[in-house]
Amino acid sequence: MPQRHGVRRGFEVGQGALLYFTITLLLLALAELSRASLLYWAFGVMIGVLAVSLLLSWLMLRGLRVHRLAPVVAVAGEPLMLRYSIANPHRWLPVFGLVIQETWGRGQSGWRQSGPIAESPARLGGRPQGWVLHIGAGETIQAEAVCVPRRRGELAFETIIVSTSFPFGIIRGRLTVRQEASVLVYPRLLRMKKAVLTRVTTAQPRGGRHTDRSGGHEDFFGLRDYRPGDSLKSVHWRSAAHTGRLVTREMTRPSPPEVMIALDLRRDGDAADADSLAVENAISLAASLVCDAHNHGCRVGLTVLGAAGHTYPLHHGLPHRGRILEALASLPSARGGEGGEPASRVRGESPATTPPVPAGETPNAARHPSPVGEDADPLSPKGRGGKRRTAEPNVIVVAHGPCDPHPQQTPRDLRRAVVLDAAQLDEFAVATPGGAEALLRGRVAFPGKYHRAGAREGDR
Amino acid sequence: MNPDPLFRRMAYVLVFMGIVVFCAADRNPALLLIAGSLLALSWYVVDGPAGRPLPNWAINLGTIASTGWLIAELAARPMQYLGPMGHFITCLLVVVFYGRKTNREYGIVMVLSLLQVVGACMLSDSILSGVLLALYGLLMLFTVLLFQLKATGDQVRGANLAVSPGGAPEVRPPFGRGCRGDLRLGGAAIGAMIAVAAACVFLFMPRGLFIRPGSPFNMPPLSARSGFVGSIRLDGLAPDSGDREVLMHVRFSVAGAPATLPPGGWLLRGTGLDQYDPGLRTWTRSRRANMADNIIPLGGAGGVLAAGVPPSPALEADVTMRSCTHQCLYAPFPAQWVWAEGQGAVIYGGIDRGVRLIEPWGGVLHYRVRAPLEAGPATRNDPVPRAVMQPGPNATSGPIFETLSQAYAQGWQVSAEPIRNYARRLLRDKGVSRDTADAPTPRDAVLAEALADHLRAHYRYTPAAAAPGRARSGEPISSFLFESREGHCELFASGLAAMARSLGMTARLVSGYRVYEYNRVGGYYVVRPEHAHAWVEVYCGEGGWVTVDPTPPDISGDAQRDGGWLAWLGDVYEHVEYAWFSSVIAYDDHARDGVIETAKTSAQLAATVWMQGTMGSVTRYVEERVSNIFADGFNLAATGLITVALVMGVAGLVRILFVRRRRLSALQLGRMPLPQRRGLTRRLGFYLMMLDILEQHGHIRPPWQSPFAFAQKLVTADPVTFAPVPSITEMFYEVRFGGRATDPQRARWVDTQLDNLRHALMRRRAGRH
Repeated sequence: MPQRHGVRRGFEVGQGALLYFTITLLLLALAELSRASLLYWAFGVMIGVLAVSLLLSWLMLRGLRVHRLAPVVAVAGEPLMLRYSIANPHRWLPVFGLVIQETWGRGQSGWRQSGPIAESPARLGGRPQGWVLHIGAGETIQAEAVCVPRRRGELAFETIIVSTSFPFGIIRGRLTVRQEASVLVYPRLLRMKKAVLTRVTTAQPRGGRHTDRSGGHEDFFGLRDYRPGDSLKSVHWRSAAHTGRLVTREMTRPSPPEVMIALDLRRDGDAADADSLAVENAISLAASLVCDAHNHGCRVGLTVLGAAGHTYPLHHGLPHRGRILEALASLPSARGGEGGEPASRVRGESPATTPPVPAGETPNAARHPSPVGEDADPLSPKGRGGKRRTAEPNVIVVAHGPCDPHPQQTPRDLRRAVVLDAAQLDEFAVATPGGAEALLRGRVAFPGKYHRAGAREGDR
Repeated sequence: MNPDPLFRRMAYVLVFMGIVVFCAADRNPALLLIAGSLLALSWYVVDGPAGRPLPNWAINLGTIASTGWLIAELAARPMQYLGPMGHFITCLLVVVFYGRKTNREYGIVMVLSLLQVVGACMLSDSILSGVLLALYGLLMLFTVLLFQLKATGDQVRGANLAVSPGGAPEVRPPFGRGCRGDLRLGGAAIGAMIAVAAACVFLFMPRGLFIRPGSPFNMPPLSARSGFVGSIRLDGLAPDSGDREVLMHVRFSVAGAPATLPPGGWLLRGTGLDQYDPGLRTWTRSRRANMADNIIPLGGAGGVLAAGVPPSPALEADVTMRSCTHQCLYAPFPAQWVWAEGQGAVIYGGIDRGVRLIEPWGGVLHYRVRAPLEAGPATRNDPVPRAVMQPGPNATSGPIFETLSQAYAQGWQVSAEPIRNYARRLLRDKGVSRDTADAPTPRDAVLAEALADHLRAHYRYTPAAAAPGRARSGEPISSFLFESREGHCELFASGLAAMARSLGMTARLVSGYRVYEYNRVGGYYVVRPEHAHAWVEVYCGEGGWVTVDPTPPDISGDAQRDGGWLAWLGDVYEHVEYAWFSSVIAYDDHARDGVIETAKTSAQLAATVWMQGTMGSVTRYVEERVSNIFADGFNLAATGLITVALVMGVAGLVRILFVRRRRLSALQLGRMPLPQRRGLTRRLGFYLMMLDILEQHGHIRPPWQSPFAFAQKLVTADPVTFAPVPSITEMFYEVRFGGRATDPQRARWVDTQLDNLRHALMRRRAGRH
């Protein structure tokens, strides 16, 4: 395993050990003073306990192999389960009471001053800890440690400390394994109120729900020559009679509702840092909308106003949703942070003051570059490949404050968009513990179901 | 596996065991009863089904009350801190168990319990304490292991909860196969390692490494009821006769051979008391006697106390004092030579021939004294052999002795005339007389014996005191001689001394022990506090000091116990305790040096044998070792026997655990709770019997194979022979997983099936042959 290179061993002595040493010395003093032989025995037992503690804590950790099985992504505010595979190579010696702990700073003396806990604001509330009660000789076991990321972004793990104070808790043997990994933390995901998406999708000015592609069973699309395999029911007999050859009738495909989300991060240059929470709320709201729309079968797209390069056209699919969430997770924080841009630079609209974020700057964006160029109109009805669409997408503008569109800076289509103010988050979303997992794993609804259900349930 | 509930139960047992150890050492059954009851009640009150801990104010109140009791007890019993501290800890433990217990409280409880047991170690050195201590150590080991696992889990849980309050899911700790078994085996291995390490420390650690013996930092000896008193007070109260705890082990030998017991037993001299204070009614050692004290240095070969002794067979007493509560070294006669372990010098009384330590010595003391034994047959009237010794070069001698002894142990002022008249009348009845102005002569011994004969014949011995009113109304000696005519040994000795001194003889009281209890298994005498005794020594001029014991001899009628196996068992128990005491309690630097020397010798011998590598050398080695064992005596053999018994016991225990584990594995009950497991193990015994039968014929079910698959395999191999196996296996499943009860009818059916299987297998084997 790879951790053999960065393995260090050591021992820790805690407060319990100090108490133990005190009692041992007290026993020795009493034995010397009273000459009671049983006290010498007791002192010998204490020494034996100490020796066994030292020996076992060293032996049990010898050759132990630890491997972190971290997930690729996590959600801010939701428990992140880190898994560890621990193998006990001994033939006869079991391992008891293992504590697994994450730490940062290359395991050196200054490790307390770095890492996601030491950041401001902290990315994690504390070091993830897990424990294993017992690993039999020659067994491999999986342990879990839970942490809750507080912020979106990339969460880096550096070092694993495996320790045990078995059998007596006096001396803690420690094994430090350097093993780097990173987890991309999505923005906080909220459960959207149904009224939000209903309001957007039912406000579409045109009633069409059809694509400009054939292959469906909705409306008439056109005629073409018969191909073997076509159903006889689809033969347009009148045309066939006219032309003398079989002609097949093509119908349009149904088109799911489309939601284009515009995340408006533009702000005046003198905005205070206090707005960072609102910015994060807006990002969180946008991410939640993306997931909600995806789960309801909508084609969803995203454009970030104020951060050039983050534009994702309308599409439906898990990879597409993942790319959008990754982009949102990788957005620089308002305060600026690890690898992030200061908020004041992100908010500006002018290219001179707000340099575009190159698509390849973040690792996730590099893996999934934006399919639309920077110059493309994010709200253009052109779909992938530049085909014409039959309907304009519904547009939701997520702003991190009272929306005050400027004619010079706001695209024309935004004027008819539904605007969600992230400052009034409670009106649109409900934070539920564990809700993110349901959102990410939610089944995709039938495209039409949402509207029927939305019409029935309304603003419930 | 969840260590929490198991740990809580173990903690209760541990604390109870600690209280038992302490109460056994303190000999306080009442405290054990009360504390044990309260502790058991706390389980129901706090940890029961509807249990709830008491509020904090009640716990604080209990703690304050315990502290108050401690203060009161310390004030009432000054200089006795172990008992009160143990009582305080007991109360505190009981109180803590009624409150809410977190890991911190559990840690405190375990430390307090440990301290309590440490106190018990200092209070008692009996083998019972040793056994209880070993049990306690075993319990403590497993309790600490469980506590460590529990505390680690709680710590991780707390850290995770602090990181994500209410948000993080509960993570159950994973554990591998055979967790409980590994914990048991690991605990046993850890216990063995600790025992080995403790034995090494105990055997090879030098004593007094930091605090030398005799330094002012040494603790004063613990008070014990030894029965011995440095002064005799005749205040009408019964003397403190002590209890039956063994105080000394004494081996008497003459020229290397064990000495035979005189008819009246041996008298171990303690202190000579020559001065009687009528006001305090107390016999004490006079200032004149104190002035004659000499400090005799002791080398490795001991120190000579007196010289000028006529060559006669020397009586040697090898004494091991289990609890040296006084400075006095007891000797059967006025000692001529003494050696005391760890002592650089002793104080030797030039007049009264008593030997004392310079400083009080707490704990075990081993010493040897040698005295000339005057030959001559012992008679009934002279139950104790006489010893005659003159002052030697190291003692106060010559003119100084004469000066000091001019008025030593002479004269009598209390009711002198009536007592003198009484004594003269007694002597006249015997046909002898003595003038008060006569010088001491050997004839004085005869006169003293005549007086003692009268006391022995006409006075009644009673261990209780005379009637308090009578004793307090008048002078106790006069009251004993003329009114009550009954009393204990101190009154007898005082009466004889008063009569002798009123007649002008030089006489003194001697306090010490009468030794008559012989351990036939160990070949030594046992001295207990209840053997404390007082007698008289009369100075006979050239004849020296003659011992006269006026106490009726019937008090020593139980010199030997009645025979029978009970007495033999008692001797065996005492000898085991003696072996424990001599090998553990009395282990000191001297013994350590011996062990190291023995180890060196054995290693050299073994190396020699190894190098030579011949059978003859091995034989010689074995012979030498065996002869050494016999030369060392019974102690080593007994220790070996105990060791073998212990090893066999441990092996048996390991075997029981192994068989139990194998049965559980065969029945697939490893992960089942203990109560259900017990019932099922009993009900599924028939399946184990079937497995045993099959195993005897070479059909072993591997651990990974299910019973059903095993039965299928057997039936497929031989449907006729193994026909009963599937039906028994089916019943196994019904009982094991279906919860079916076994009735007598089904039990008979199972027996029949097993018999069929057994016979079928035997037929099969016979057919093969």
